[in-house]
Amino acid sequence: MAVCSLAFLFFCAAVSIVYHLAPGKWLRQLILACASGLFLAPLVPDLRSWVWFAVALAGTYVALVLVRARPRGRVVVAAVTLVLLLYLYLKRYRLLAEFIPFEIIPFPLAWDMRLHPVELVGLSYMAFKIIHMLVDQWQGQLAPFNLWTYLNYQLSFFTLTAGPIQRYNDFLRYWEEIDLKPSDMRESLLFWIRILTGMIKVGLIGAYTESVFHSAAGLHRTSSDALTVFYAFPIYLYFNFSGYTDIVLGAAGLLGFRLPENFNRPWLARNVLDFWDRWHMSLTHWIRDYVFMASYKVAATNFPSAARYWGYVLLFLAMFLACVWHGATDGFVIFGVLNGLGAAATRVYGDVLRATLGRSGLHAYMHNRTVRIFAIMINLHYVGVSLLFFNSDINRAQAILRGAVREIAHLPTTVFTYSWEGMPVAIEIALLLFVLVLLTAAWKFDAFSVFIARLALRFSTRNGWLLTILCVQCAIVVEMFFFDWAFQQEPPPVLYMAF
Amino acid sequence: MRDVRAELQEIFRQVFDDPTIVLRDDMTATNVEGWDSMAHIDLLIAIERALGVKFATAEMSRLKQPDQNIGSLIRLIESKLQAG
Repeated sequence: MAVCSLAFLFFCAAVSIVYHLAPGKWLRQLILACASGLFLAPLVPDLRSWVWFAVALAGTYVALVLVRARPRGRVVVAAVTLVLLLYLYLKRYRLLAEFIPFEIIPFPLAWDMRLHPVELVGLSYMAFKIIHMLVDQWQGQLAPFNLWTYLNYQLSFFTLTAGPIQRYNDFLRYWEEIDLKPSDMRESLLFWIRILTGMIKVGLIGAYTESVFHSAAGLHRTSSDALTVFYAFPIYLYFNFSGYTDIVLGAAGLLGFRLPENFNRPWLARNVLDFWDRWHMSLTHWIRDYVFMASYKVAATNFPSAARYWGYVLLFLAMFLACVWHGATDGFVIFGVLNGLGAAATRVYGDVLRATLGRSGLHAYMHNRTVRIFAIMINLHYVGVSLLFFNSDINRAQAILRGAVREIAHLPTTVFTYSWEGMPVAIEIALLLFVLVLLTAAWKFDAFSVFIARLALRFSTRNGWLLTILCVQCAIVVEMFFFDWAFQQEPPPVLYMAF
Repeated sequence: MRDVRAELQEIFRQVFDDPTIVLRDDMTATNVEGWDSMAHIDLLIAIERALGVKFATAEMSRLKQPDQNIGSLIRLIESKLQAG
């Protein structure tokens, strides 16, 4: 079942109604488990995939039980290694397949991934969850678990396909303390608004930017096409994935579960580290906790005098891993290298600034509005360049980059020689006003943010306003799906489901 | 009984190289200049060495959450010291 679809909307409504009519905690847990099963069933294509799904779940659960029985470092290392090997085998990364002869792995021929690849939805997210459980269990930080809670945590339909990566203790808190009070009208309206906002992001804005991006990428004759691809792809990716996140956060909220946020205005980030702290946050925080902090702690404890340099290297590696996780193709490797270098360079630059400007100078620098706008613009384009290699062929990415740079170099000529003839005056004025508003918003960003927050608060405290917004969104979404149906289009897929 | 707050304040001043830091329970990472992920680990390692406690990965992570503050850190350290 596609998350951005009318079917999922009805699914959410049906589950929510049945769930809230159910009288007890156990019954509600059973309804949630059935809902996850119903959601999962159509996503697993064949028997082979079901068997591998069961093998992955049973194997990881046994590993977890072993770590609970013998919480020793070696047992954890062995368990995490096995999980990673299973993950790499099932994912069959293209780059690794060139070096590792997967076919020599002694499985019966019928189960050979090379001949019969299986589709395991949410495999990466399941791997992140089990690794965090193994480490936390070893360190005595994991809440009690059993097969029932483990399966529901791993297969929860809110987070199964593309995250966000919820921690087990957070999941269990909501699972065990299911709220039996009648749901609050205002909260329910806000969650429905969030679901519909997500659907509009994925199905309308995301689908539109995807079509712009694909048509420009398909043509790819002029440098103007290249520039369109350069700007359209990040916009498409953002609306596609943040829209998905809105949908699942809203769906979970309807049933009393709170999931971690995944986005916090990433295009306002002033450097690569800041960007990853705002983009796919649940993944970044997982990498920060279980890769960067764990390894940096070992390095800083054992080599205190060289801790800073180790920090740069580990920061690069952590960011590289966060990117390469998407898929070990050559494009993702370059995406990882660029972001790793960006993260390490950010840290080096920060240390240099601190050493040269001093504490007060650094404070003034960080709060300087002009510096912030320049930093945002530079970061926006750096991340944009790295995203060209995201899930893309290197030669194609290079060609797009060359075309975009050529177009930007000619931008002053294009602007000054642009013919405004034939364009209605009203549109010219509207365009100028739009640019002015954008510039004002960027310059007076803090005041603008406060204004927007106040406006949102005013609307969100009155159910009448919320109901009006919901009705407008319903009309847009129904029309959106009607068009899909009339033109026999599939609902737009969520790109991150492929990872 | 150890004065955890005073010892912690001294550690903060050394790690962030700022002798003017005065800890309050409601202070968070945003109130201390330079408290990023690396400084967070440096801080926790310094606390482990000075106070003889150990932090698990999940605890280090939890202390980075927006709802956590100096009060939470002090309570966590005190509970670890009491547990021995």
